[in-house]
Amino acid sequence: MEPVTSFANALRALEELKQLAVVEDYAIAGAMALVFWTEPIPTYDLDVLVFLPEREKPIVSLGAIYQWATVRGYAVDAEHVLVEGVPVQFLPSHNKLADEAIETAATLEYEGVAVRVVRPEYLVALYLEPSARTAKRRERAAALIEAAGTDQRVLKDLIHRFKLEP
Amino acid sequence: MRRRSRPTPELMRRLRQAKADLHDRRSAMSLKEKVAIVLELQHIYLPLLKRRRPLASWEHPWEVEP
Repeated sequence: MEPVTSFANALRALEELKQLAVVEDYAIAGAMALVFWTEPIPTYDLDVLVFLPEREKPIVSLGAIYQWATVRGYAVDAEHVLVEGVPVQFLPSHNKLADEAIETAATLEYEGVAVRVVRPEYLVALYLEPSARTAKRRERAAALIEAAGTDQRVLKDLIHRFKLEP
Repeated sequence: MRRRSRPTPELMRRLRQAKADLHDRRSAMSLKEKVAIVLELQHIYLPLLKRRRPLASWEHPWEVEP
């Protein structure tokens, strides 16, 4: 089947989420963020860290994102939203490290579309979180640590402040 | 024990350097080129992944252009 849409359209939809205030801010994380900073690796979904707008209830809900998906005609499949043909997993910021990862994300350009991407030092730190550590993630962290664009001083500071084990 | 021939340190240095250069070249590609490769890798890896474990419903090549 011929593709009917483009990766850029998926990124445009993420920007729209922010413009419509469905999310306060977002940043691409996970394997696709790594692709932005280093080399292509196989992955089948797009992880997006999000700040959800403040609500009175202490428990966050992805309801507004699912409503937006319904209006746009995007299918929801097992915690993923199929945004312009790309399965996107929206991950509400779960701690201070994820907060900083979104706040300090780089704004890059993909085919004329602005896109927020978690910086390499924060990607490494997120991969090193005890709850997220797997052999695959350790391997990705190692690749990023050696990448030319990774600021070793910033990374050292993150490892120290968030008590991570390299 | 059988005595094997070994590569020289110089050969090993060159091989490692070539691999590092390949990684650098891939990292330096344009974002669009990288995404095109991700899309190709999705097709290549899917049968391998399928042999190892059941696939999640969302695990399939993206039907998008880079």
